Order: sequence, then structure tokens, then C-alpha cells
Amino acid sequence: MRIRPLYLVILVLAGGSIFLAYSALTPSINPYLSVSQVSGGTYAEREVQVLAILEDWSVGEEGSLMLRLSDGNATLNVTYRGVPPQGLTKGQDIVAIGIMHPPDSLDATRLLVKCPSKYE
Amino acid sequence: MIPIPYSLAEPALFLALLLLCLDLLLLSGEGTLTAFRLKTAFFAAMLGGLLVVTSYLLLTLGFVSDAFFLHEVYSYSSSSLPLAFKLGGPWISGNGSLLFIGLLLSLLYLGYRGFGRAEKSVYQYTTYRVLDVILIIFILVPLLQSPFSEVVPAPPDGIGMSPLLQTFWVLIHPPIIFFGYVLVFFAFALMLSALITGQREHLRTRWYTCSLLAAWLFLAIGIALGGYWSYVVLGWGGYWAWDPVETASLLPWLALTAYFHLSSPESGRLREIILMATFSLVLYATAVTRGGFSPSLHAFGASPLGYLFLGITLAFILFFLFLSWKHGLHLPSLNVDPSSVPSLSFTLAFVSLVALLGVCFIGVTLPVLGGLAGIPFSVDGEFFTTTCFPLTLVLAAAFIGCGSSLSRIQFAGLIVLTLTIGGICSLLRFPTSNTLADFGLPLLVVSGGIILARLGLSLRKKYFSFRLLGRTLIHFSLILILLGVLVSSAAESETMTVPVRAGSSADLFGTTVMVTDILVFPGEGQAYYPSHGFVGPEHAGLTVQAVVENEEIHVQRPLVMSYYPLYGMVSVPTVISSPVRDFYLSVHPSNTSQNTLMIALMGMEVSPGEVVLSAKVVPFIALIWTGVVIMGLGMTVILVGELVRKR
Repeated sequence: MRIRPLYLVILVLAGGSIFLAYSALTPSINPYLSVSQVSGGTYAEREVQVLAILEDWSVGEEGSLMLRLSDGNATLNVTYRGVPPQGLTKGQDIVAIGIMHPPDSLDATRLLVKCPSKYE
Repeated sequence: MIPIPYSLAEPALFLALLLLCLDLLLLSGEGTLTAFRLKTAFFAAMLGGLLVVTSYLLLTLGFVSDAFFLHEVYSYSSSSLPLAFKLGGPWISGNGSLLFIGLLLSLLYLGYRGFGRAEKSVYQYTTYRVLDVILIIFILVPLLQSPFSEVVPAPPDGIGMSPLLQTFWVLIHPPIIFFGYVLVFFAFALMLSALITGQREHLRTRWYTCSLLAAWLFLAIGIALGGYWSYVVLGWGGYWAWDPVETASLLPWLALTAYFHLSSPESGRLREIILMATFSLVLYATAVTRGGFSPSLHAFGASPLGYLFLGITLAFILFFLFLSWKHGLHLPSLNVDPSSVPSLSFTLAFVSLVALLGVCFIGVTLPVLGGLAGIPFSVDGEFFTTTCFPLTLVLAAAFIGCGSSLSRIQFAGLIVLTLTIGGICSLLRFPTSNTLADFGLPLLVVSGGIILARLGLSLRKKYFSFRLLGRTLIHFSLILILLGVLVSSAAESETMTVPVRAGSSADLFGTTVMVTDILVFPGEGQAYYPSHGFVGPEHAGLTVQAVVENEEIHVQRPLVMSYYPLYGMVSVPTVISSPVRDFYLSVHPSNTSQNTLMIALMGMEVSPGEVVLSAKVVPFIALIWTGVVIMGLGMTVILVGELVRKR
């Protein structure tokens, strides 16, 4: 059976895209974890993504942010040394991504807060 | 003072719903459309549309007249909010924005129905019926989640609008995006009517073509404005986070871009399918935004509206499939002339755009499915950049062949050569330290050069067409944007943070920032604090007067940090732009500035002796914004060409 070169090119492109997508997808999937789930040592020294409520925050040494997150059952102390996201408010949902240090502290490399457009 | 009848707003919407249902019924039954029925249907539709407009105007009046007993006004406004933001209140608010879409669709429908009154055809009446159905959906939704719900007892003031929303961009970004969506709905209605009636010749009319072109233009500008807003206010130099809501808004634009890369007359069936996908993706994006299926920067709360929009999307898709089956429409084929480089290039462009659409759709949908299954997760930006990058290179390669007289061997040889050069640059880590950027740069530069050379050649031959000029501008703009994305992300500096006393200066990335004064503004504005039950100052502010100087610039700019008890600390960055780089500067929170603002809120001015400044350099970001402007210009040229073209 003769296969046209064009179909071959399209097949290669499609196959390559699927392979790329699959290989890029697996390490990119990050579960949202609660404070209770990350407390206790299961995720020690691993990168985690924690979705929680901001209980309080203050400015620490050398401009770092010290945050206290909670899910109602447990609390997590987060240290963040980057540029703070705008509009940090107590009681808001926040996502902290970083390395977990047991039992209850996180060195965050990213903080995400909700865009002020509230479509809910 | 004349009392405003807000209580009539919901009944007006309900009556509009009934009138549009009446219009739908009267226009059904093709054999018995008497003049009386047509006239009644016309007035029912017009009155229904006007009632939607009235309801929207009542909401606007509610914002302007500080009707804080309305929950929407209470949640997004206060008495001290500037008028411009009160006027924009309806589309800035959650439930009001749905009514805003209803308003835009009503206005478009009123215009189309009014202009088309003289035309009496089955196709025309079918289009009205499809538009009725879509408008009914966008009346039903605000009735289900009403922007006119009340707060009891009525509070003395509102909680104000987030300071991050009080920018120029909020006044234009949502209306432009929503109008783009409405134009997609309109074009879809025309297409679906052609499918229902079998009268496909209507898909060559000016209404249809121009609505698609305009939809693409508004979607492109709307998405770009959202990115720019994030860049200058919210994201500390970030303009795209691959957040599910952001990426979902990109889906219909990608689909529509793929649509325009089906040039052959035989691709009609495929174009219908792509437009169906575009329409579905608009509804899907709305479902993702408002459903809160997965945590997102833009939507954390769950809402039944998400499920409603998913259901509506599915219903339209099933109806489309039913019509396809009923009319015996075959699966489309992609018509390619393998001996023609332009034909091959068009196909490559189409395939790469569909692949990009697929990647983004997967990246958005997987977290949605996870959220629905109770296993919330996110898909990192890494997935999108890794997968989309090679596909955008394929698109850039396709631009080289588009409209060219190269042979297949010459075309393939040129691509291989530029990619080889890219590979060598990657190995040598030249000109940036990012291997992906180095790999793609030669192809982008060659593609951009060929696009411009081709335009120059056409102009020398005195051959000009709006379509050629517009297409050239759009393709060139995409190259510029890609170049900007690659170079700015590869060469962006780390953030530098330094304390600076009033009257002294600091050197940040070779730029001297001299702090001449630090001013404190005690409690300003007015807002209601529900947890304390009183009306108090809305915010306190700190302004750092700074002179910023380097070889390229010498400007005086104020840096503002504000504290809003209800919205937190906000420090709006100052962006000082030049063609080769942007200098990003803002006040970084510190214990001193935080204490100053807390005290200022209580009415006392205690100037901090020192502030902490954060700075960053973003090189060649101007390429992206310039590319966006050229892209908009390009599509405008095509649209104008279509409007003036003789038929």
C-alpha cells in the first residue's frame, strides 16, 4: 500500500504531538492538597500545592512574608520570599506552592490568590 | 427625587422571556406565516429586546444611585466609588455580567431584526428563531442568578470595589470579550439556520463573513487586554498564567483562527464543524469560569450555572449532530494539493492550530474533570509551554510557505536549515540562555522576514488587496508576539528588593531610583464594614515620589501602596517602558509600611522614614504589545476590505 508523503508528515506530527503532550502532562499534574493532608510528614521535603484559607499574614525578616494557612482542622506556617501577590486578605482562599518541611511549615516559591473579578 | 422602580427589573426580564418564546412560536410552522403573525412576532421580539435593555439600565441606575439594598451594588460599589466604575458595575459584577451579555445580544438582535424586516424568507425567520433560543438562555440565566437580589436590612453603604478592579482596563476588557462572544453567537445562528434550511448560499453573505471577522478581532483584543491588565497591575510582569479560566477563553479564539485557515470552497462542511466547536467553546469557557469546577485564579466558588452551561453546550452539539445526520452530511475531508506549497502550508497551519486547540482543551478539561470527581488538581504551565511551543513553530513554518512560489524541496530545505541553525544556537546557548528560545528564534526571524519580503514584492508589482495586507500584518504580528514571548521570558531578571530612605537613592539593575518624598494619605473614601456594622474610611495610602533615571529614561513617578481592610494591601507597580526593556518598580510590603497604613486608616499621618522597593527588568516585552496592536490592525484591514467589497 502506498502512503502519500503528506499523510506521513501529518501522521508524524500528530504522533509527535500526542507523545509530547502525554510526556509533558504526567509530571505537570499537581493535586490540590489541604493543610490536614500535608501536615504530619507524608510530604516531607517534597513540592506540594496547598489550597487553604489565609488566617493571618505579616512581613518577616528581609521582606519575607509569613503566612498562616488553615483548613479548619490544621494550620500551616508558610514562608514566602517573592513579591507578594496583590490584595492579601485574611479569610481568602490562597494557593501556596513550595517545599514542605514537617511538621507544619512550607517554604513557598509561589503564592496564588483569586483575581478580584468574582464570578461565583 | 423620582423613585426608581428596581422591583420591575426581574418582571421585565421574565416578560422579555415570554415575549421571545411567543416570537419563537409565531415564527414556527413555515406554511402558515400570515402577515399578522409576522407583525406580532416582530413586535414581540422588539419589545422583548427592549425589556432586556430596560432591565440592564435599571441595574446601572442602581449602581449610579447607590442602591445598596441591591446585593450586586452592595458587593461591588460604595458611595465614594468614582462614577466611571459605577457605570461599569453591571459588567464588573458576577451576576450583572450575564445580564450584560444579554444586553449586547439584545442590541445586536434588535439591529439585525430591524434592518432585516423587509426580507421575508424561510432562512431569515429561522435565523430569528435560533437567535431567540440563544437570547432566551441569556435571559433565563440572570433570572436564575439574579443581579437584583436584595440585602435585608439595607446597609448604609457598600463594601466597595476591589482596588485591583478600579483601573481603566476593567472598563474595556470585559465588554470587548463579551461582545466577541456575542458575535460568535450571531455567526453561529446564521450557520445553523443555513444548515436547518439547507440554504448554504447564505454563508457567503456579508453579515456572516463580517460577524466572524469581527468576532475574531474582538476576542483577540479582549484576550490581549486581559494579559496586558495582568502585566501592568496584577501579575508582577506576568501576562499569562495558563489558569483554566484564561486558557478556556483562548479556546474559541484558537478554533476561529483554525476556521480562517480553511480556504478551499470544498471545506464548507469542515468550516461548519469548526464554527460549531467555536460556539460550544464559548459556552464551555463560560461554564468553566462560572462553574468553579476546579480552583482557579478567576473562580474559586462552585455554582450550578456551570452545569447549566455544560448542559446547554451538549444540547446544541447533539442538535447539530442530529441535523447533520438528517441532511445526510458526510464527515469532512481536508482537501490538500500535495504538489502546492501554499496548499500544504495552509493545511499545516490548520493542523497545528487544531493541535494547539486540543492541547489547551486537554489542559483545561482535565482539572474540570478532576474537580467534578472530587479530586482537585491543576495542570502546570510547563505542560502548555512544552507542548504548544513546537506547534507554534509548525505554524511559523507554515507562514513561510503561505502564498510562496517555492517548490516543495526548497520549502522543506529552508525549514530544515533554519531548524538546524536553531539546534546549533541551542547547543551554543546563543543568543539567550534558554535552549527552547534559541532553537525557535532562527525560524521565527526567517518566517517574519519572508512575510515582509512577500508583502514588499506584491506592493512593487502594484498588487494590493485588503485581504493580503491584513493577512500579512496578522502573520507578522504573531511572529513578533512569539519573539517577544521567547526573548522576554528567557532574559527576564530576578526581582531585586532594597530599602530606601526618603531623600536617598538606590541602584536597581543599572537604574537609579531617587526617593524624593514619602507622603501618607489618611483614611480616604467610604465603605461599609459588615462585621463591625459601621461605615468608615475605605483605604489609606502611601505615595513614594520617585525619580527614575538611567541612560534611556529620566522620569518622575509616584509609587502607590494602599491598604484596604476589606481587600488587603495593594501596591500598584509603575512600569517604565522603552523599546528594549520595561523597568518594573513597586513598593514592597514591610513592617514599617504596614504599620504606617494601619495608623493612617485611623486618621493619623505618621511618615515612615524608609520604604522597601522591588524592581525587575523585563526585556523586549514591547514586542508582544506591538504585535498585538499590529494583529488588531491586520484584522481591521481585512474587515474593512470585506465591508467595502463589491458583491
